[in-house]
Amino acid sequence: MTHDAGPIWLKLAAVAAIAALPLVFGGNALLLHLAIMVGIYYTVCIGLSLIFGIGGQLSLAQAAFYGIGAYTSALLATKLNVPVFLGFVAAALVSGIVAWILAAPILRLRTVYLAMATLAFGEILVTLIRENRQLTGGSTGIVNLPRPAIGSFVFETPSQYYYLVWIVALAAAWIAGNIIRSRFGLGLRALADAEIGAASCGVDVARYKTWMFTLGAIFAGVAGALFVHYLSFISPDSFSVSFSILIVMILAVGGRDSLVGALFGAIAVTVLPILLAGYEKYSELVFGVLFLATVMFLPRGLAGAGEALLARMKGGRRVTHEGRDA
Amino acid sequence: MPDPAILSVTGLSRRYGGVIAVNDISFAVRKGSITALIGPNGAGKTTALNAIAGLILPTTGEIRFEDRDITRQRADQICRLGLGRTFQTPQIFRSMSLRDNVFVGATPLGRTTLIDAAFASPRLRREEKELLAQSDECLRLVGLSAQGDQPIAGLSFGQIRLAEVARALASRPKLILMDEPASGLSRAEAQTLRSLLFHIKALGVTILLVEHNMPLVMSTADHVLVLDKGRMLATGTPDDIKADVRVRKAYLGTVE
Repeated sequence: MTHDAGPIWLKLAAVAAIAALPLVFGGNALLLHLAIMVGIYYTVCIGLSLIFGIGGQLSLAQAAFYGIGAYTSALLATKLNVPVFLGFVAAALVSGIVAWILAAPILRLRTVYLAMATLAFGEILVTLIRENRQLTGGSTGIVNLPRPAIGSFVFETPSQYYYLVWIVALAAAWIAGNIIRSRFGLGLRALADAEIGAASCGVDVARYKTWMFTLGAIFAGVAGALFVHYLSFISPDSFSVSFSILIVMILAVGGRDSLVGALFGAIAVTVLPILLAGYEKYSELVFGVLFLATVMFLPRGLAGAGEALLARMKGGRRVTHEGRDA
Repeated sequence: MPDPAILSVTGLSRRYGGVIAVNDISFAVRKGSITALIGPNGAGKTTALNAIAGLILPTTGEIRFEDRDITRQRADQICRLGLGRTFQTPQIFRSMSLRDNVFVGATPLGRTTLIDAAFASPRLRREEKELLAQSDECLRLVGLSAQGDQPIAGLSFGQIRLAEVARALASRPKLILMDEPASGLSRAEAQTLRSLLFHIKALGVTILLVEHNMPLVMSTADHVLVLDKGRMLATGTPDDIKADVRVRKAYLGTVE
């Protein structure tokens, strides 16, 4: 490890708070629903934080992988009666394999060209889903998706599903955090800063990008499967490119180079529409303004601003490791 | 008996459209030497260096490193074979601390996998501790131990040049290519660089140095190669080169 991963007590406190939430607010159905959605969004964001947040490669395909995972699991459960947990594993595999195949041609592109190619991939996927009515139910989608079960235990209640979602989210955060802090994470950060410099240090740029893109797709695929089996319903609407853009915005607002930032961002987009109850039609406007304001005034997002504030409170100690929390 | 060549370049050319940046040059770098590649601006020095390091493909010619053909290898593959480099315009990782910059330089020494990293395996922790110690050793060698925790972007230009040397050394290269390491350095920093070159040589690392600072070249190099307009104009010891009429003409335009 090349640097401190943040105080362990803070992490334990966060995990304890997440574990305790249904015990304290179990009766509040709305809050529990929001907490489940935060966990799912957070998992998708963690996936993107590797390739985009750390690696600087703007991919708008995250919704597509979220959708591939979701449809894989939904179709296996409804057409072939495959147990949902096996469907989750298949969701991870299929999303990962598609990403791996896509990586070779697409990750040669950079900046806005990469964004456009990944955006096109997402559009093609949604069109395929819509037009293949026989298989996917087209725009209407598929209803009555089963809940996952272990033996006779079914993740039926919101509290039970909450724990399932957050175990996955925290596992994803742990894995991504480990990678970010390892030499692989530093290599990824290095290629974002100076690709030629990184290659000349022995960093296999194409391979690093492929791994991180694939891993991000796996996280998104599992999150997508968790999402549709939670709603018991799947339709192409949830996997459009606007969801990819939302995920990028979540990272920008929260702080794209930190996993804490991804969590802040996921909470912000989930809670904001509720705070604006009655004015929902303005929620996109408010989020847009919030997005612009953070990009302009807090380039490292909410997490970066919080870190700077914390450092200042500690007596003006300079933050030496820029954006190195996880 | 002269030492064997660690690097040999044969018939190297690189054409950009109608411009021939490097035109059929051949040379060898002897193992353990400090070899300088000099020449006026536009002579093709950086192009030659980039071809050796795998950043551009030669139009024709062959490059062999330790009897291995590396002509068509990628930069990262060449680095992993033991060939490090620094850049004329530093290619540093601006968002990172100095120590992390040097640590990235140790990438070729890593033996653990991404799976080890994902689950923070003990093997990975042990290896990173070793590589970090190795990086700190390189920082100490260039005299920047005290600045390790600072963001690299906050260092002076001269310190950044030395940091790139430390980063290149972190992979334990057999040959290190340096592209104008003294340019932009203060007189004191150039002195530090000079003794650093001898230290690196003493460690058994061969150096191929592209440099404009003639006092530095003439006082450190064992062997000098002079390029002019893409062609090899002269080769020899520093004394040979100082006495060479063609070299003086290329640099000064006139000969008295």
